[in-house]
Amino acid sequence: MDLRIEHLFKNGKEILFERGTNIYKKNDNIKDNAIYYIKEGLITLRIIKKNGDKIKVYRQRGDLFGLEDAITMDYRFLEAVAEENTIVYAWAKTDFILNTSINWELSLYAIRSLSSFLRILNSEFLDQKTFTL
Amino acid sequence: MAKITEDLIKFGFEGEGGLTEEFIKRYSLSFPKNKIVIQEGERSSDVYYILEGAVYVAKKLHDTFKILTFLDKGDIFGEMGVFEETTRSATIITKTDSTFLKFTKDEFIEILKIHPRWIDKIITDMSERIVQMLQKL
Repeated sequence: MDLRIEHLFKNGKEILFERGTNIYKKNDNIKDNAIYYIKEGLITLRIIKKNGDKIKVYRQRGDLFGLEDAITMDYRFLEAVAEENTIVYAWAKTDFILNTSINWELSLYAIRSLSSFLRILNSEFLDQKTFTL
Repeated sequence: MAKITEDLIKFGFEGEGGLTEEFIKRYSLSFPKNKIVIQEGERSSDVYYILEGAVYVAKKLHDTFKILTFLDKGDIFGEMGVFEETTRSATIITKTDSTFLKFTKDEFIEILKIHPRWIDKIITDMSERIVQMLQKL
């Protein structure tokens, strides 16, 4: 956890999600404060694959979530559930983008977060066509 | 620390609009179709900007490749190696004859710092790749 990043996120709206709460569901419209930094607690990002398998990706204190669909879509593409009582700082997309353009540490933090999520999803990817060189 | 040349600054500010012949000569390299540009598992942090052509992002499984996504003109690959101290996460194979601008990690970081467009682009592109992958799973 990077205390400089946490300090920056304190400018966001603080929200408590009690254990078991759906923070958002798949296909929910993206709200104003759509990008979350976890101040305390634990959440899961839940993905149901086409073959019915379920994937849970855990996010804990100091992690970011909600960024990828908030940046690219009008609605949520997966589900987020509070596994413990969880306090987040919620940021609007516009504030987030503005801050990444002026804060190098925040930019690196966001890109590393996305990159690590993409690696997890890539490793889960099984049913795509193959070819030989 | 990369040496900041005027050409690098111009590219940072203007993107392809700021390219000069000298810059292209210095940084570009070309590959024919179906050639491996980056190998999964390699330890390297060079970053590639696709000037012409297209590539597959793939994972090797035995003697075949599973395609994760395609990238084409204006896209960047290899950038994950800049931000994570890990080996290459995927293999990059040219889909067509292709020309890239190849930057060292330090050069690429300097470009990122020149203009916020690059950070926006990387965050947006990576978010799109995540959403595409979620659609495929």
